[in-house]
Amino acid sequence: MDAAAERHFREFVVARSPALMRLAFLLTGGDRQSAEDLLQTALAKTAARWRTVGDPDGYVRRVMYHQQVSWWRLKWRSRETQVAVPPERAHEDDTSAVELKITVRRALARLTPKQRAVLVLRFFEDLPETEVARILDCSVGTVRSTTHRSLARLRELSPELAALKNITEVRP
Amino acid sequence: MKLETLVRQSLEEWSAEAQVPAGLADRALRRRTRRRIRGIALVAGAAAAVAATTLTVDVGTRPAPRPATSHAPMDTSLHTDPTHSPPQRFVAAGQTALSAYYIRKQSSVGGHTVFQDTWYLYDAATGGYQRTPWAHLDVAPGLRRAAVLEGPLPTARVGLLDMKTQKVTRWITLEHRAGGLAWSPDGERLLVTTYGRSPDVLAGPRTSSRTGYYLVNVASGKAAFHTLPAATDDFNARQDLGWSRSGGLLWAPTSTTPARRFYDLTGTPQPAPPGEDDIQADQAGLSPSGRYLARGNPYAGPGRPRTRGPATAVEDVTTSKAAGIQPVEQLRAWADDAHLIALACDVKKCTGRGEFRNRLVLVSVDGKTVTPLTGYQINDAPGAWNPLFTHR
Repeated sequence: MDAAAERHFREFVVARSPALMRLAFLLTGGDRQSAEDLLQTALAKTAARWRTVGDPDGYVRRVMYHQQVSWWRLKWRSRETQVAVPPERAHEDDTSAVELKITVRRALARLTPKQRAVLVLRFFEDLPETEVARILDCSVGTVRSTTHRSLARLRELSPELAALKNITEVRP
Repeated sequence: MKLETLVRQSLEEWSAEAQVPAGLADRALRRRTRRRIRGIALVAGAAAAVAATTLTVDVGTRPAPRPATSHAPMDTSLHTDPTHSPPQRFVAAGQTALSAYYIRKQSSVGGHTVFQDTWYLYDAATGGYQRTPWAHLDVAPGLRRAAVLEGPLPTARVGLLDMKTQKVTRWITLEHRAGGLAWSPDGERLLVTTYGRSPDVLAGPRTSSRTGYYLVNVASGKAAFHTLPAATDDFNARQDLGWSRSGGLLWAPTSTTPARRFYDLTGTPQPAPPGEDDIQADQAGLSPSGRYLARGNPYAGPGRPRTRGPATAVEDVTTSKAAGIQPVEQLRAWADDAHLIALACDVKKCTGRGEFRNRLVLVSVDGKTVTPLTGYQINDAPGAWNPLFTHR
């Protein structure tokens, strides 16, 4: 990488790292150090192909999704989410919106990386199922079923969420 | 509200807590260079490849291990919660985080004073602290895992807890019963202090039931026991052992001066490393570089002039001269070589009972900058919380 390319790369990192870090943070279930590792690895891969990458932002995102899922596949035993006992059900009357969101966070952190990645793509990145399927190299049917199973898992992990309406938005 | 909407809102708000570490571009470019070096080395021959593999161990398809002495810049961002006591949000400064805190309840049983601690542990998923059922715990450097003990103490097993899920992933059963825990500085070994009876029941002077300690290799789960009975010059029932800064020696507390007595890992007495022998419980000790030493009030003692407010001192151990005086009550932990986490009262109200109304602050060595980290509490009142600091 010559000096000009390196300068462009640095400018890209400065400009895009807040958004990319937010994504890495969510993909790793709120683990700051794993998020740093994930983003750093993706940026290193991007730097290595800087000359040929047309859309660096999209490339980094794609690498992070694949990296996170492949780490999980590689090390699934040690990264397996362990849940001994479901959390106690809170009384509905005193379960505020803030508490519900914290409950959702805890449950999201306990999903598998793939389940979490699908929910992040669908509900944080707000991408349609076809685009999620393209990024994850899988079928639209797999995206749909994984989304459904991930939401069901959230309800299973946090019974407070079971009372919420069970409607899955359908996007083309 | 639909679950999808709730997930959408939760992800959006949660993502706002992400923080960009310094030097991301540098780190990425450095790793790219290492990868290239490895490629060249593999072509150059087997001997070169071995050396290059050592250099590039973190370039593969797995997350880089992150020891306490990681070369990668750690997250040193400042996190405060100055309006809450105990804190509801994560508190950290420089290399140090408030990883947990406990609230102590005192009662009297059969004429003996009994302490019962309730521990609250940092939960990365919520960014706050969650109440735990554990009777005792210690958090490993890096905040990825903790060691926990079930009550009543002493207990026959140690749990290794994943901080991300807040669940115990493994139990290690011990023949001798455990009452105290301390992670080694590299986070790879656990020092478990063992007792014959509860270390939290005060039965009178010289009645501590400490029997010894285990050194547990966390990766293998193997635990080696060593006998080290309670010191007769320490009146406390709880006499937990700790690690030297390097992790090469252990220390036991005393009730006298020096405050720590050192041993090698097999329990044989050793001379104290410089600057480490007279650090009282909860004192910050040596700075990260080892150049500065946190001291108590420089004006205390007979014949010394008294100041109007609280004061602590930091000494430059290379010159034995004062590097600065701070308007705080106790220096608890180093954030970096120029800042400490301290216990501080309101300087204008710090006389009489006012000295017990205090909070955690970040103070510069020169004493000129004081940043509140938590809200105030009356720290000698029932329900007061006590912090546990851990290297990030």
